[in-house]
Amino acid sequence: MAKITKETVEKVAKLAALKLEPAQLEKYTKKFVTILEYIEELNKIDTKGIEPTSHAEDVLDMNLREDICAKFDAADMIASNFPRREGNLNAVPKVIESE
Amino acid sequence: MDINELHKKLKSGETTATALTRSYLDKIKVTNGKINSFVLVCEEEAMKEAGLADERIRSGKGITKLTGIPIGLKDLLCTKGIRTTCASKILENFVPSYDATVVRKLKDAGAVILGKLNMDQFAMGSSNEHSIFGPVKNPHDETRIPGGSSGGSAAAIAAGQCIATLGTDTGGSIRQPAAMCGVVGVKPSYGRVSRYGLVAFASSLDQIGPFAANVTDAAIVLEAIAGHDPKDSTSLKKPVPNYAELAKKDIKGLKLGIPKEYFIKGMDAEVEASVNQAIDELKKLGAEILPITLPYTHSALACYYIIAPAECSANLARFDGIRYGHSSKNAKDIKDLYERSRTEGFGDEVLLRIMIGTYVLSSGYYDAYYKKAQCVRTLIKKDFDNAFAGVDAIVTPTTPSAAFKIGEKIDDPLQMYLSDVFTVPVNLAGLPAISLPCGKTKTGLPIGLQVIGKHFDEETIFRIAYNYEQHS
Repeated sequence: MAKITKETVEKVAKLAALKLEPAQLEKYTKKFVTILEYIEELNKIDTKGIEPTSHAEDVLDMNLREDICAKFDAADMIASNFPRREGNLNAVPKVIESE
Repeated sequence: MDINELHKKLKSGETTATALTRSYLDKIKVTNGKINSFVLVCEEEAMKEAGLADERIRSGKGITKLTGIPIGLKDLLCTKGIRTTCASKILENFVPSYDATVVRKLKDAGAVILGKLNMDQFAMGSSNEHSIFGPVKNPHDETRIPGGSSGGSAAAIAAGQCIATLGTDTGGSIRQPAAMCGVVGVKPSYGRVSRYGLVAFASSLDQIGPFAANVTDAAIVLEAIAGHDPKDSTSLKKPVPNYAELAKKDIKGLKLGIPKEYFIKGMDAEVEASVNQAIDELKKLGAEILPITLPYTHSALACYYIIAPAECSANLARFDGIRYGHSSKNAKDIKDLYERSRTEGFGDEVLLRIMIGTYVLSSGYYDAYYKKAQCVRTLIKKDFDNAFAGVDAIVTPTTPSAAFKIGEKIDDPLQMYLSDVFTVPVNLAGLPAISLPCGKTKTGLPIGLQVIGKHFDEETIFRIAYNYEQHS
């Protein structure tokens, strides 16, 4: 197993767009190690020549419907969930910095 | 009283949907302070729906068995105009703009929605302790957990607060709490019920299913919510049978497999004894009992704890504080807003699983963890395929022990995860399974019997469960 350190967990948190306090980091690192040790067990299983499964098999021959437009009558309800609503617009922080 | 009896009384005018709904709302008022199963009671809407159900019954048009029947919903099923929180801070004030397909189907059938039920946050947990609304108490012993993640849905049935409820099952979240609360819970085949409007946890494993006090009621509710939905491309175009009617057929000659891997060292002796007694009962009813083996059972939990967090980390990436949900007030730029909103908004267990998922999918570890787990998933599916070549259904305990104490396993994720050891393989293989009560421990805690069926063969598991229930 790759060694799990606080730095590993910190890096993973960053990848997942999370920001942990030092105390949280300590706690999660411990739990992380326990769980990874457990899931490492799978390495004992020989899976040479075995195809991976991503879904219950019958689901794979699903039929995709035609992409047809339909009217949605509750747009205002979507807008009411905006954290920073301005009229029917959603205000977000600036994405591109201007010099 | 069961759905068929209530249906007769509603049709004959002996009672009304309004009176029935009132009595359940009153029951919730009296009991919810102790049990904490409901996180939102929709009194006004429920009374309105009850009035409409009464009108429908009076007109005699469009009556179904669920018309006027009070039902509760796990709080991760979207309800138009009604707060849907996933028991999380990040969705604390989220109000969906549409109904989940299962909710629409229940409403179309004339069911009365009483409110939203407590759960482990984002359906991650086995004890219903991971909820911003506080833990649910097991109605059989209020110092104990009801199971999870659909703890509120199970406890609401056990406490007599609803006739039926809906929950979701990703690794056992319907069957495990059903077993611990002494009620019936059904995890349908993957693809049987539309997931549209269910806040996704692990999309290749999640299914919505019913809880009820008896097998027939659960069968009636599943029939109402099942079927293809153009809005969920993984819901299959297969006809929905009349489960309740088909369940009445006897089980003479049915071949039932008993996998030796489900009777493990360290499991509770009382659970083992009760399940063995139930198996004897099924034999007396004419079923043929055959020993089988599912050799990869012991790898299922590790496999699940790679696949489920991986899918969860992708699904929960949508919560970013921008379009809905908790949005941090102190952010200095957009990246900071994402990070703060997510870290403040998700609970401990959710954060842990997002990070585990991110790790197993990250560059350099993908093949070692995620792809490996997918290959093991294939082996687990093959186990079941091999077993089902010789048997019609598989009978096991639902959980290795009865309900544990609140707080007992909260700091030890692995011990917590182990309570799902008998339910997880079914999700990985996409199979249907039911948990039904099969006795109690000496201290009065319910024990659950699990019956697993072939893909899309819910009929057979209902049939076995119904026959056992009638004779136990």
